[in-house]
Amino acid sequence: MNEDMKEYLGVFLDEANEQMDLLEQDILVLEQSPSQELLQEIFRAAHTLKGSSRAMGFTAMGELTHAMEDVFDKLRHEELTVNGELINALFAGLDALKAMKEEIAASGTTTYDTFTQTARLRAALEGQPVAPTAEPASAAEPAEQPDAFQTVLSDNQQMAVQEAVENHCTIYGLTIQIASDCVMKSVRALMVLQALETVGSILATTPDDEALENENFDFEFEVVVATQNDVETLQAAVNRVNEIVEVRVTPWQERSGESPLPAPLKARVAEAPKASVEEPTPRAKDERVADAGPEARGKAPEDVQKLAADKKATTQTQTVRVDVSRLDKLLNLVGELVIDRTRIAELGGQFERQFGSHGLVENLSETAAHIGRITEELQEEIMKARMLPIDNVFNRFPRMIRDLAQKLNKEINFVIEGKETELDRSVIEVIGDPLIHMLRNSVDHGIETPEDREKAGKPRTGTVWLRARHQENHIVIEIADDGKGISPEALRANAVKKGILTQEAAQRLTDREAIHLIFASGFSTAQVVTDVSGRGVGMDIVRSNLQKLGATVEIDSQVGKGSTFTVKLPLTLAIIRGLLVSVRSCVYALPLNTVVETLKISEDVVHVVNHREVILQRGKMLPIVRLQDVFLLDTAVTPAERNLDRIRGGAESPSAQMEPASAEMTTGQEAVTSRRARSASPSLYLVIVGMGEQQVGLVVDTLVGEQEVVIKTLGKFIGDIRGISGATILGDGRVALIVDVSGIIHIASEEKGRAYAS
Amino acid sequence: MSAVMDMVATEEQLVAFRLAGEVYGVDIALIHEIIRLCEITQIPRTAPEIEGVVNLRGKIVPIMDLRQRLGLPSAERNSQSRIIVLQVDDCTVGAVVDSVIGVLRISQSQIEPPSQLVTNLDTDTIRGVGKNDDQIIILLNMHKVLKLEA
Repeated sequence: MNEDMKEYLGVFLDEANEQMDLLEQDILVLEQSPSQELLQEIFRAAHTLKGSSRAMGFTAMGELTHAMEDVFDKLRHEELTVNGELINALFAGLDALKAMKEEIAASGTTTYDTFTQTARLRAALEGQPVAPTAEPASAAEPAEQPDAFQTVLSDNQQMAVQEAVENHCTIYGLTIQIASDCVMKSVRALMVLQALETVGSILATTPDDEALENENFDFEFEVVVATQNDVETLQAAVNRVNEIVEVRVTPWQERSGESPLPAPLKARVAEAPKASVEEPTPRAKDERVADAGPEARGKAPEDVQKLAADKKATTQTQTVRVDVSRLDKLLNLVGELVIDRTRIAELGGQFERQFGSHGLVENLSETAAHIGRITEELQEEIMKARMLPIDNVFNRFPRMIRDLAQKLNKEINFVIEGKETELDRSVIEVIGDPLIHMLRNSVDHGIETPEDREKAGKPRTGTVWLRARHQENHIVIEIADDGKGISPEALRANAVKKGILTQEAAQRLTDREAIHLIFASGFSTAQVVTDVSGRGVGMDIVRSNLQKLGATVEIDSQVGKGSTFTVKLPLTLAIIRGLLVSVRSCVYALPLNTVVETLKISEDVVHVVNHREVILQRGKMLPIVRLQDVFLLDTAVTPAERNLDRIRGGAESPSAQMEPASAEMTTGQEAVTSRRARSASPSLYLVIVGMGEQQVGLVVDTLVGEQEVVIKTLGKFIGDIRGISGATILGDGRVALIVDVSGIIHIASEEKGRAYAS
Repeated sequence: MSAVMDMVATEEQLVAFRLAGEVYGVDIALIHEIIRLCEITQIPRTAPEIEGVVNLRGKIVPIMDLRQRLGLPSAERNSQSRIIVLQVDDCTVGAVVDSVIGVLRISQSQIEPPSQLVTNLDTDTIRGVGKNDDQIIILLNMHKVLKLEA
């Protein structure tokens, strides 16, 4: 591919993506409810795809799309009817196109073999009886052309055709066949072209010049020639070249059957198939021609429509394509502004304290406040610019569910609600996989087979719902099914069998807790691990991945009725409100949405139970974790050692405290308590954080403040660290680490001794 | 004439720096910038050679303890110490060095492949030893030093 092509590759891929997404969605609808409008849209998408892939030199892709286009063409002329095999063939073709697109995106070319897919489509084309249709004599109707020309003219070439016609030339299409034992095909082809140049002018060839030179063709090639001579002269010219077996000369007709000869434009537009752009009034049709403007003259009506539609589209929506990286840069800059705004506010406060309400100080405060407001608004707008409708994620699912249902012989009705709900792109990028997994679970394990459903008195077709909506500061996504539900008993039994819980512990769980066992690691109640959902990525990974995003997932289920998985996501992953704390002179940020409360406690309320430190909080045991231990900032002290220190009355001066303790031990609790108080039992700051139903108290040195924090990743080099989800830059330029609360909880439960997975 | 062409074609430009008494060189194309030592925030639970991160004009850049990585004894840092910020593939990483000498040009002919006897580093991390007059310059293979897949 030459340099020019490389530039266009990005554009090509973007457009190819769009067209392929459209095709996938539309083919799906086509299966259920075909309509002329739909077929027009589909045809146009395939046509565009064909054109652009050919323009980029991806001939195999062009041919495959060509085959699909033919199918759509026949469908829209009712020469074919929609059936299962046809749809499957179309999907197979589309999948191949996608694979090729991926290859091109990765390496610039594709070597995908499209033979089977193309053959399948061609078979679907021929295999059906062609419904006889009375073909109107209008030039706008495409004629049946079993050996129609392959050549598609570019815009320039079409203009050349127009010019030639205006100069009283006739356009012919020649199909030339070279002898099968010819060794120098390119030479012969060149000689044919030279010969034709003497009796006319060559407008186009298929394959193109380069391909002819490199012999990238079998034994047949096409030439489009404009000439004032007659057919015999042309044939004679070609036949003078040796090793030419056959020359077929026919008046040139574009692939879609439109002759390039000028005809009253309006008449054609009226007869041409309806455009996919909605036309509520007859006035609109004429407008279209007018809208298309001067460029429309001399072009095939299809192109006229496209021009008009494009113009209409651009005036209507007025969108701009923006590179995602540009948005990210903007967000980064806004993030910096946010940091500086906080800083200015701080400085303003300091100024005020120092200089009182001096005129200048007031001015500064005012300006700072204004900057603050503008920054907030700017931040909001950028965040909105990064929002995308969740449909971007959802649109892959109908196809996936359809294929899955077919594979498992289940009948499933898939309902999507709220696909316009908008999310920040950072969330959109990561929410797909967990949703796919849960949807697969619903189809695989939730919905029963049609026979089982009938036996249970349910309709044969099961339904899976995917709903999205905003709720306060969150996005709520529900995956529900009316399948067989999750059985608490089965899960309890399985947990005991897998050794995750003891029998008694299992019995003690409420039904709700039992259902949530599905999130425990090492779990899969499927009798046979199907290759669909039991692929070793269990619900535990799904949940922990969701938790990493700050999301929670809960289950509601009734045996026999169905299950609902509810995922609550933050609106964005890029900026969070954080509680800043310091531990041994390092600053950490705790996501505020995980903070339950903060309190000051003293060391003596900390007890050690089963090797874990806990406190009694409102009558319940709350495990506590010392961040300095988790982050190995100090030489880690085990709880037992700490306990010992406490009994001795503080690590600072053990000897000083020893004697009074032993002397007063006998005088009662009161004395002991007061002795402890005298030795200034250190007080701790405790931040209670929670993830769903688990809570833990984090011991920190001091609380620094609350702040909005722009999340920055630590980068590839450092990679993933358990307990840390990223970093941020504070107002004073220091780096603070953002704590991953669920990670901390995991670390704590591992290191401090085995407790049952909760 | 051809000699001149040879020299131009097979010359390397390096940024040379001192570390534990030796002179090292890194391909200049990999150097993003050189900054003074600033506060390095420690990252817990990471490999010992990851010293932490710094704030480079709003970007979080990881810092590698080059002495640790190359198996050299650690030492005090002073006003001469610098952080060399490297860009290798799509990874931005900084490394603390004792001092930066400057840019050197050496030709391919002055470079010897690493031998076991020259230094006590794993020969994986060094790709050669250059000789510039009497000076020995240890050429680092940054891909290996940063443990990136080549």
